[in-house]
Amino acid sequence: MRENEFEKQVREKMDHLGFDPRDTVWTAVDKEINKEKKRRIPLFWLFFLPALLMAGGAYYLIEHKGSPDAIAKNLQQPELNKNQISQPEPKSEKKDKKTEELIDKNIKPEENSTIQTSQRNSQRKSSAESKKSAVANKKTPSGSIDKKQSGEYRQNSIPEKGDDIVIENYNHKSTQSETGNPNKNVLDSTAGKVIAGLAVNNSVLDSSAGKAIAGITANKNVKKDSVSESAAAKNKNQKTKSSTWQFGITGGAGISNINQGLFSSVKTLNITTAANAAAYPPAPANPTTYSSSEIKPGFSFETGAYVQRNLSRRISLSAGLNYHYYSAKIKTGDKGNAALYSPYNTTSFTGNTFYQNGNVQTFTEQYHLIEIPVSANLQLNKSSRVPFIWEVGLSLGYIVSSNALYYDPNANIYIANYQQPNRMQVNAATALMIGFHLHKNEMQVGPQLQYGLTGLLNTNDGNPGHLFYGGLKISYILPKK
Amino acid sequence: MDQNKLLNDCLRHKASAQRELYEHFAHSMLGLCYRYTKSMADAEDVLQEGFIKVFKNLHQFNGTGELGAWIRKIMVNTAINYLKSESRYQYDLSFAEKNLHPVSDDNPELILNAKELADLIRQLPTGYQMIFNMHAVEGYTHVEIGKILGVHEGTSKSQYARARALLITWISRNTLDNKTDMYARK
Repeated sequence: MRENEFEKQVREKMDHLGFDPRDTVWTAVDKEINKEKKRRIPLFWLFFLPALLMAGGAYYLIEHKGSPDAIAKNLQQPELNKNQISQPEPKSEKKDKKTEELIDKNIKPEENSTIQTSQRNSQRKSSAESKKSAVANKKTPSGSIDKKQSGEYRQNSIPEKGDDIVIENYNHKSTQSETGNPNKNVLDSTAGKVIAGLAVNNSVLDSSAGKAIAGITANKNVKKDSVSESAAAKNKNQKTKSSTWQFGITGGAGISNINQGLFSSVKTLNITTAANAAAYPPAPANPTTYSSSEIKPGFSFETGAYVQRNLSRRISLSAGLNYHYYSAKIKTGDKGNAALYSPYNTTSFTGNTFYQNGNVQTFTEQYHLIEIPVSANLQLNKSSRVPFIWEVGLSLGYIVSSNALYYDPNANIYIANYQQPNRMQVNAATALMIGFHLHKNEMQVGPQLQYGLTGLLNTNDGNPGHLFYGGLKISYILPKK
Repeated sequence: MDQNKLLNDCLRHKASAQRELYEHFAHSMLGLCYRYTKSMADAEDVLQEGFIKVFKNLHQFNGTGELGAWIRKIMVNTAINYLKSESRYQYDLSFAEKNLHPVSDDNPELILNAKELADLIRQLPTGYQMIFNMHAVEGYTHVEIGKILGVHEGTSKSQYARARALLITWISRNTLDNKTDMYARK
C-alpha cells in the first residue's frame, strides 16, 4: 500500500459521513436570513422618504415662486418693507403719465420726501392703513421705527388690488454722468437712511424671533423632562451595547455655478423684480436694451467633519458641519467707484463700488458658506470590502460672506457689496461613493452633486439663482479607539 | 436539482429554495462539522453559522465551480474560526511542538466505518485534528494550511505526521480489538 493510500481511504470514508441536523438549526438559519429580508421595507422608506421630501420641497419652491402668494410674501419681507413699495397695478398709459408726474415732482431738490400717489385715490379702492403707515413713516425718522410700526409696515406691504402706490425716498435723477453715459445712476444720500431703517426693522424681527426660539427651547426642555426617565432607562440599555457611532472627516473639490435649474446656468443675477420694475420710472424715449455677461462655473471646495450612525449593515445616517466655498466667474467692464443710488430703493448698498458691463476683466464671485449636512446613506451592494454607497440628504447653509455682483439692467452696471438677501440656504445633495480600506481604515470617494433649493434673490421673475456644486467627495472614517 | 434555478431563487430570497438548498447539503456538511469539533452540539453550531454565511454570501458564488465545494470551503473556514474562538478548544489548539508522538509510515487497512473513523479523528488533540482533516480529507496542501492557520509550513507537516501516526496506532488497536471480539464471539 502506497503512503497516500491511507489518506485516500480516509477521504472515501469521510465522504460518506453525514448526519441529519435537528430542526432547530434550520429555524435559527431561517430566522437570521429573514431578519435581513424584513428590514428591507422600512429601510426602503427610510431612504426614499427624504428623497420624496426633497422633491416635494423643490416642487413647492419652484411652483410658488411666481404665484401671487409668493409675491405677497416677498413684499412682506423686511427688505421690501424698508423700501415701502406697494404692489402696483398693471401698467397702463394713464398710470405711466401719473408716474411721470410723480417723478417730475420728486426731481425737485427741495422735495426730498415721500411721494404718494394719492391722486389716484378717487379711482381706486382706498387703503386707509397704508396711507397711515406712509404718513407715519414720513414723520418718523427711519431710525426710530418701533415694533408697532414695523408691524404696520408688514400689514401695509401686503398688496391688494387697488391699493395706493406709495414710493418713499424716491429721489431718482436720470442725469448724465461725467463719462457721458446717460444711464448711469447716482446714489442719493437718503438711501443711507433707508438702510438705517432696515437695520432697525431687522433687529425688531430678530428680537421677536429670539423670543420664539426661547419659547421653543423651553418647550423642548419640558418635553425632555417628561421623557427623561424613559430616556435614562434607554441609555442604560444602550450603554451595554457596542457603539455604532462613527466619526469622520470629509472634503471635496469641483466646480460651482449659479444655476437657474439643476443643470441650466443663470445668465445673470438681476436685482430687478417684477414689483420694483413696475415702480421704476418709465423707460426713456429711445430705450436701449442691455444684456449682461453670462455667469460661468468656478472652482469650489468643501471640508468638514461628520458623525455617522449605522442603523444596520447597509444603512446609516450622518450629520456634520462643513465649510463650503463656491465661486463663479463673470466678465465685467472697468471698476467704478462713485456715489450710486438705487432707483428702486430695493437694494441695500454697503459700499459704492460697481463694475461696468463689458468684457474687460473676469471677476470671481465668491460665496463662503457654513453648512450642516444631514444625509441617509444606503449601501447598494453587499460587499464589505468595496461598498457602493448612495448618499442623499439636505444641508442647511448660511452665507457667511460673499462678493457676488448683481446686475442692474437699467443702469447697465454690476453692483458690488449688495446685501445678500437670502443668506440661509437649503441645499439638496446626493453622492455615489465607493469605499475601500486603507491601513484598516475606511475611505470613501465618489462624485457629489449639490443644488440650492433656496434662491439667492427674492425675485419673482423666475430667476433667483441657485447655488450648484458638482465635484469629487472624499470621506475618511476615523478608526474606533 | 437545477443548481442555477435554485441559486437564482435563493438570491431572490425565496424561502422554499433556501430550504431546499439547506436540506440538500445539511447532511454531508454536518458530517464535516462533526469531524472538526468534539461534540454534536458544537458541530450543529458550526453548521448553523456556516449556512448563515452561505446565504448571506451566495451572490459571491460565481457559478463556475461546484456549489458543494464552495459551501464546503465556507464550512471549513467557519469551523476553524469557531475552534479558535471557543475557549474550550484552546487548551490543545497550540501548534507548538510540545506533545511528541511517534511518526509512522504505516498504511493500515481501514475496516472501520465512517462514524468510527470520525470518532477516532475527534479524539486527536484539536490542533492535530484540524490539520489532519484539512490535509487528509479536504486535500489542502501544507502551504495552504500554514497560510490559513498562520503557522509555518514545516509545523503543519510535522503536526500532520504525528496526527497520522497517532491515528494509525488507534486504528490498529481498534482493528485488533474488533478482531479479538470477533474471534471471541466465534
